[in-house]
Amino acid sequence: MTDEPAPNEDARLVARTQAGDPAAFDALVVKYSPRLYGLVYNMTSNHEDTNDLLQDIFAKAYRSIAGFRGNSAFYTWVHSIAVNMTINFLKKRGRRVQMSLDDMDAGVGNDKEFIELTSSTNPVREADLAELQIRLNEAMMKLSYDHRAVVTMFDIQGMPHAEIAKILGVSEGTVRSRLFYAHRQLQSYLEEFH
Amino acid sequence: MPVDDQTLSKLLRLKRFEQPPAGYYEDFLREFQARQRVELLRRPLWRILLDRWTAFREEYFTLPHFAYATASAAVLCVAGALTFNMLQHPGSGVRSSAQALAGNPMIAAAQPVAYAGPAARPGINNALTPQIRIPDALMESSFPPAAGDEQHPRYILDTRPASYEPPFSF
Repeated sequence: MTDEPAPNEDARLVARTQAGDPAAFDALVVKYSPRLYGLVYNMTSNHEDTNDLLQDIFAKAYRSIAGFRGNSAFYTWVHSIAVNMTINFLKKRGRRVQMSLDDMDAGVGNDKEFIELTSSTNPVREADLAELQIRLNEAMMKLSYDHRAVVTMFDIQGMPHAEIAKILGVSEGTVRSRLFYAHRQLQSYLEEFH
Repeated sequence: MPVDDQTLSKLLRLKRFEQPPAGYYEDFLREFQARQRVELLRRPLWRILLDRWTAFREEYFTLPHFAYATASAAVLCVAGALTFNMLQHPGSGVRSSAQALAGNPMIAAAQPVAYAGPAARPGINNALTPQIRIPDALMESSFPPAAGDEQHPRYILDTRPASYEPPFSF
């Protein structure tokens, strides 16, 4: 998740899209939809909302790509669109939270990182994973939109502070500050469960 | 029991494994393409006309990319040259016009006659009339003395010319 996409490849695909090749934009959609799905999904906690938002995000990116001048990476640009549209959506939706985070990948049990995280040496080994998910998502939904976005990008997607700062248009210090505050909040929410 | 930072990070990293069902992304792309096609069909009429006009203009009225830059540069050069010329010869335009007028015999012949000033008339408030001072030299050149004026000066009194004839010469 932390590996940065090749900017040259993205730049070529963007140039082809700007020249009128829709297949190039399809390649960008295929490349970035899993990444953006994780971002939007962990901010909305709803699969249907995530699907609709992701369609809107890529549609907006396609409409706006003619004006994309390459001052930033396409990766940063499309993530900015995603974060802004998701926050706008959450503001409109208000506090109506629809929890549907029950789609854990069936093949996750074979994932090396997952096994490591839930191994016998891990304090959460005996916890019910379904209950763990619910608690985590409830705690996440109690965060403000900005804090939720930072936690999603840093802790879940593993993006560096500098990249998050570029996407949100804030300083790295602000990102660190939001992370610190969000972690304190999440810790207090999870204390009862743990 | 408090949750430390490390545990919290591990719990959050577990959320990476929350993925949509298999085949979701393939369906997503197909759905996106279908939506794009629908949007193309639902475009408003003005947008379609605008695109057609733009395509037509680009096909038949295409100017080279540097045409606007060249035109702008030409306008700037002309404006700069005019400004420089005016700064080098301030008032040259006015002077040359005056010289041209003075050199024209038709205009020189039509020069206005100098005004001798308002006549003092009874019943007219002379204080309201403009006072014009005309140099003596100009007066002499403008009004040459008429023949016979040296011997008999004429005076105007009460709008009746004075007569030097004997009053009763039958």
